[in-house]
This record gives sequence, C-alpha cells and structure tokens, in this order.
Amino acid sequence: MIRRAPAIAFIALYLGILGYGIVAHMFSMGTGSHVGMYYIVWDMFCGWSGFEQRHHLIAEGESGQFYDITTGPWGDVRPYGPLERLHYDTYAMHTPRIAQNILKQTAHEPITKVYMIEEYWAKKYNLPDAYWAATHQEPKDPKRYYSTRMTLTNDCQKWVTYPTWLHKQQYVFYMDNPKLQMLAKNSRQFLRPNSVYQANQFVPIGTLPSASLDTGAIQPASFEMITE
Amino acid sequence: MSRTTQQPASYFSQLEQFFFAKEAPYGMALMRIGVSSAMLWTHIVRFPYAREIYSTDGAIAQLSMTFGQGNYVPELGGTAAVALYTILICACIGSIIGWQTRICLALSCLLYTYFSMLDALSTITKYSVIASHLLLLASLADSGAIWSVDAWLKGNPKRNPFPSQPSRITPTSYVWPARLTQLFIGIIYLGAACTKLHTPAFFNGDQLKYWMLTQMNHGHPLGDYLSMHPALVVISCYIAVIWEIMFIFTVFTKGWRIPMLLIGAAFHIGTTLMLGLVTFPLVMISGYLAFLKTSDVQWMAQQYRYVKRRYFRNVSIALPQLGLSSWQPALAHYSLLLFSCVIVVATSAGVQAENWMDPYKKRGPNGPLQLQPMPMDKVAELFKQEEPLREIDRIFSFRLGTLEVSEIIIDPRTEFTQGDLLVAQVSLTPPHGDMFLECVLVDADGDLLHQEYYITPRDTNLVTFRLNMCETLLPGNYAMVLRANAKEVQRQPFTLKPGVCKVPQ
Repeated sequence: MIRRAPAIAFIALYLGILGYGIVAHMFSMGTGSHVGMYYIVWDMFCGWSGFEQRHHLIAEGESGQFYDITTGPWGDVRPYGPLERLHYDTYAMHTPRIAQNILKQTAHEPITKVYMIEEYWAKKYNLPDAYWAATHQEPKDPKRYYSTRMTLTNDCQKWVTYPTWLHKQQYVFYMDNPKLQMLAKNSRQFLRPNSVYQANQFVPIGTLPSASLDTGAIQPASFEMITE
Repeated sequence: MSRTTQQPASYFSQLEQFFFAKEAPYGMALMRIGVSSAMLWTHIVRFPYAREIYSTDGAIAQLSMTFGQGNYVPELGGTAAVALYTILICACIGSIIGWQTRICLALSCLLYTYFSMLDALSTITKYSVIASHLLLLASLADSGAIWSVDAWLKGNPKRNPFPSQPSRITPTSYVWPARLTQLFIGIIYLGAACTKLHTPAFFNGDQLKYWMLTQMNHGHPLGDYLSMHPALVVISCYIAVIWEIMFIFTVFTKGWRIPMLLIGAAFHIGTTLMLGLVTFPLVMISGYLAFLKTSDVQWMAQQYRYVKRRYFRNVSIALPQLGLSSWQPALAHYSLLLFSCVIVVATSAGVQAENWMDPYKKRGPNGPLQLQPMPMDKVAELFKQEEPLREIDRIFSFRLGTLEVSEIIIDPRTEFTQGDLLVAQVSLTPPHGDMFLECVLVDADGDLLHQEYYITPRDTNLVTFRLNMCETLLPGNYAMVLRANAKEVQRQPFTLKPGVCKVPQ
C-alpha cells in the first residue's frame, strides 16, 4: 500500500481537478478566472453566429498609400483550414502584435496608422451553388459588410477601438426603441478604467472582450462571437 | 466438512481492483503511438512558422492575455524557440517509436503545453489540451513496455510479443493510468454535454447549422448538405447530448463498452465530414485506444492471423535484416547517452534548417520583402461607410411543407393537395432585431389571396405560418411571398392539386 501511495495521491489529485472543472463549468462558476481553467473546462461547443467573419489589417503610409498586412508577404500558417492566423483572433487582442511583427520584418515607407477592418457576410451564402439553386428561387447575392474594429498608431499601439460589427447591430436594434434612445441621451456617459489590460488608461466599455462582459467566461479558441 | 461462503467484494477492494489490476499495456502503447503521430503532423506543419508564432522575434499570442492575466509563460528569442520546437518534434518521434519512451512523452507533454500557452490563435484549441492530458497519462503508464525500441533494447525478444502469444510472457503493469485516461474521456463528454445544455440555440439546431456552414475549418461536404435539413440536425443534436451524458456511466459496463466506443468513433469521424475537423477526431480516437483490454487486442490478433491464413497463405513479407542484434547490448547500455546525442544533433540541424529556410525571406536579392500597395478600389470598399443590414440577410431560409418535428419542417415541398395544412416557416439569422414579418399568398397573376403577419421579437429565430388549403382555393399555381419590414424578401412558388378537404371549414 505504501508503494502505491504516490499513485493513489496522483489519482485523487487528478480526478479532483477534473471534477472541479466539471462543477465549475456546470454552474458557470469562475470558468474564466484563471488560464488553467482552459485545461479543465470542456466548452468545445462555442458560439457560432449566423455571419461569417474575416479580418483585414491595413497599414497607411505617409504617402497616403495603403498596404494589406493581413498576412506577412512570406506567407502564413493555416492552422485549421484555409484561413490565416489573424482570422482566428476573434477578440482582436493579439492584432497589434501581429501588425507590429509584419511591419518589423518588411521594407516599407514610414507608416502613420494601421486599421483593423472586420468583414462579415451572412453564412447562408456559404452554401454550395448547387444546393443554393435547389432551395432558393432568388439568385445568390452575398453582401459584404465592413466595419472598422480598431485603429493602431504608427508603432502599433491601440489608439481607438470599436465594438464588433455584430455588437453594433445589436446596439442599432436597441436604439430603435425611442424610450431607450431618450434614456441614453439623458444619461451621462461614463468611462471606467481598463485596469486589467492597460494600467492608467481609460477606454470605453465597448473595447473590452465582449465575452468577459456578457458571461465572465472567455473562450479564447472560440473563433466566433456568441450572439443572442 | 467445512463450508466456505463467498463474500461479495467490498467497495474498497473493487476500487483497488479497478485501479491496481495488472494488464499488458497494449491500449496505452497504441494510444501513445496514435496521439504522438497526430501531434507530429501538427508540429511539422507549424515548424516553418515557429519563429513567428512562438518567439519574441514574431507575434506571440499568449493564452493568458485572453484571460486578462498578462504574460504567463516566459517568451524566448527566435533561435531558442526553434531549438525547443525541434526538441518537441524529436520527442514526438521518440514517443512513436518508443525510444526513451517515458522521457519523450514527458518532454512532449511539457513542451507542447508550453507552446500551446504561447499561441492562442493557431496552436491551442481543445484538441491540443486533450492531447496534453493524454501525453501526461501515457508518460505515467508503462506504455513503452511493448512495441517499442525500449522493449527491444531490453534484450528479450518476448518484450515485443504478438498479442495472441501466451500471457505469461507478456509484460504487465498497473492499469491506473489507463483508467484515468478512460475517466478523462468520459469527463470530457460530460463537460461537452454541459456546454450544450447551457446553449439553448443548440437544441433548435441553429448553432450546429451555422457551425456546419462556417468556412473556418477544412471542407465539410456533409455539413453543407445537412444544413439544408434542419430536422435531421435537431435529431442528431439530441442524440449527441444523450450519448455524451451516457458515455461515462456505461462505457465501463460489459455489454455497453464496445457499442459506446463504436458510436463515439463514428461520431468523431462524422465531425470530419460535417464540420471539417481533422486533428480533433484523430486525437479522440487515439484516446479511445486506452479502452482496449488485453483480450480485445488478442482477439484482433487472432482475426488477423485467421485472415492471413485464409486469404494470404502464400504471401510472405521478408523484413530486412539490419544485423543490429549483435549491437543490441551496446545500444542498450548507451541508450540514454545515444538518445541525448541524437537530440543535440537533431536540434542543431533543426535550427540550421530553419535559418536556411529564412522564414521572413530577409536574405533575398533585395533584402527584406517589400510591402505591396493595395488597389485603391479595394481600399475604398473596405473603408466605405457602414451600411445597414439588408432585410434579406436577416432571413436564413423560407420553406414550405406540411409536417413538423420539433417545430421544424421535415418535408419541404413545392406541391400540395387540397386539404393539406400548408406550413410556411421562416428561419431568421441572429442578430436580426425586432421585425414585422408578413406571409402573403398570391395566385399565378400575382393577386393577393391571403395575408398573415407576425411581429417577431429579436430573440425569436423561427416563425411559422399555417394555412388550410381547402376547396375554396382552386387547384393551380400559387406563391407564398415573405415580406420583412414591408419589403418582399423571398418567394416560394407551389402547385395546388385537387384533393379532399379534411379540415372542417
């Protein structure tokens, strides 16, 4: 029995940790409290919205010329399919560093600003043409919506950030309500310190990762936003 | 004459038997080979980009940043990161062939977890987390005791036995690492079921439908097809949740073990066809190998021998004789030293190879690569003023039918008979806001015959209109027109055939 003690201790510890993850997940309790939770919470079925999302990273030079730096000119890893790495940065948290690296490793004129643009289209247009023709009378006419998500300074620091296009749509719907509109007009705007991410810097609430505001649980490898 | 009565085993002894029985580690050896092979592929794909995604000479995206906890693991320079990544690949190969197995598995687990934590965008995902757990548990098992270079080096040819050989010559070890692996897989499914229970949009099929249509993973031909059959999606959603909850409670019972594992394997292969996942099913099915018992492996070996005798009697494969037997004692003695030398040489070669590949192409004839200007029309498109959402983009589908299962049409059709109850169903794409939906019946001349409307709140994604097709409606061609916020968005023509009205007027 004594020789088995380390094994028994490990079994108890391991099952205890997995059990803690399950209970935390079941009751939505502290699942985003620590990075280690990602290793014991099994939330594989993340939110998939009805709109397909892509990112574009555009650098503006001093001459007024624009450069597409969504991927480095040397090519990019395509980790899970046909898309490059930047497209999996759902919360745009790592975009500044990606932009900084591409600018650092390439030759270019002095850059004044970098923009991160989101592109969306309704996912129904992803249906193959044959399937579309079999189920729809009207021709396939996808419309792409573009929205600026972030502006970076010339050294790729966050300058201005905006809510995602999906969240903007929700704001638009809420603002259709005249009573809500009046309340929003009459209430004073307030800012709160984003102490977790950037000390001593005040940013509008809308720039925080949306999932942390909604549920307290961030799903970093969830490639798309949870929408109502 | 004494009479002995057999006492039922106590819970403690049952538990002890569950974790500390001894078996040949076939399952864990197969899992070791399976998981490491799947991981090796992902490592090789990422090797040319190791500097960019794992070093300070690139763009690290630490997982801890996403949790708002700053940098959690140390960040290394380009060369050091590439060297460590090469060691990871070497450890992975070592795990597959079973050379210094325990060290290789431990290194694989440690380094893979480290690199996963460094890259939240293109490395860490749930399959990498599961692989880290499996590598940890394989390193604790005696998974290198059979089918490995280590077993061969131990000098006893019976250390690599064919499974149907007598069990007395097969090495055995405690089963607790295999049991932990089995429980771990069961807990994953339980957690996955919790997630689905927390997601109401899962049970009406919306979540899975949009996942099957997404183009962020590999191709998924079955997903495209199934997304047009939402009733099938809903049924499979319920089956998946029931199976996930049942798994951990049934897989340890005799009659259920094999069916549950076969359903699981089919489920994971289905995710490749429906969702375009590749590595995830490979990792999970490798994890399933830990469920194999000695008797399973022996049965499979017997089947293999039977098939070979029956159909391939005259086929013999002559394995090349490498003449290593005489070197065996020396190789066994210096195995660790030789292994260390191989790691050092391979790491140096990996660093040199990466340097030769010039990942950023800085050593080209014109120095670093030049950024190319964008066409101005593309710039104008990206920066144009944001446009409001089109009404048509709020509608996912508009279908006609007669039968509903779980509130979803299961018989989409364009022909109806008098007496049918026509069901017109609108599936909305969230976020769609509050909407005013009208369903209008028009005849072949476009004259309005019937109209229904529904004020759709923002949290409703499925709207159903029903119309009795009685004798008052003559046989002929008609169309159901969907109008959203006073705009026609979709039109479904249909034919009405003569019939008997069964519905009271």
